Amino acid sequence: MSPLTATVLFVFGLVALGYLSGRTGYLKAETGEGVAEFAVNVAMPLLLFRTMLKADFHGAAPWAFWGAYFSAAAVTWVVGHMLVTRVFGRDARVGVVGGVSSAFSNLVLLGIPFVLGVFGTPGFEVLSLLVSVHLPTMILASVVLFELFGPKSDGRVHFSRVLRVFARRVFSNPLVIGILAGWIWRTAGLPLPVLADRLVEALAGVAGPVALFAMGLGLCRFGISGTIRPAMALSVLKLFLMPATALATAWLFGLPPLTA
Amino acid sequence: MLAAALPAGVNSYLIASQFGTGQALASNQMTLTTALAVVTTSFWLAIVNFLFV
Repeated sequence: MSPLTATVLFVFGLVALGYLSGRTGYLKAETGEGVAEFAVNVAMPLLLFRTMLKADFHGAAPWAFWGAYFSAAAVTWVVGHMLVTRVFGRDARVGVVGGVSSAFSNLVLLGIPFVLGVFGTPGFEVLSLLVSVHLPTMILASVVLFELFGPKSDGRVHFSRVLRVFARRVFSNPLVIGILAGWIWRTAGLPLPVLADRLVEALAGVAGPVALFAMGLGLCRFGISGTIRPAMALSVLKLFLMPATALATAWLFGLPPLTA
Repeated sequence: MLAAALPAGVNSYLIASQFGTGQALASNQMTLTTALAVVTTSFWLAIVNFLFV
């Protein structure tokens, strides 16, 4: 077995273990929320904090990289939206759900442990550059979409309200706080006290496995129901169209291998 | 590129719940992408290795 296959199996094995422990009733479904909360609010922010503190970003050209990723996301989003509204004849709100679900990757719970496993720390440093933009973008997108299509919407966007809600949600997000705090600490050039370093190290170290396990456990709550054809079509978009487009844009922008 | 190859996260479901529509679609798609990703991420990793290494 190649080391890459082994890593893929390891990563999804952890997800599967989480899923099984929920499915069999060994762990209660509510436990999933607790574990996920720990991963997203404690372990992951510390991992990002540590990364921002110690990372060497290899002069990775972030603009080209962000451009490559987000143009792929935009293309897939539009196709996903069209597919749901035109082909499957659902309304615009379901279209939005289709667009978002075909274009937004599970970067935090799955992406971080996955990239760490496959490419090690250098790959993760590149990914954290992506997460730090992906996250606010995701929050902004959901605020704007809610404004446009939400139950209280009058079909217009109220910019001041969007900005207010966006700012509140971004700056209360533990992952954003972890990234910013790491960046500030790094800029200030202060050394981390030994005890603090050990604490951060210990909690950041479990972030990956715990996140994967929590993801699997969380999936129990979702599962499959109703018609699966639209979901199947959107899955194909997410897993094939988006990476193919990203590969094409990465090549167009001439990105170095690791970032690509 | 690999980040783009990852399955969908929980965001679409959260948005679907906020809208009060499309939850089943989001939830099905999330479960499917995660299960299928075992195969597809290996596929994309192989492509990346082939092209760049």
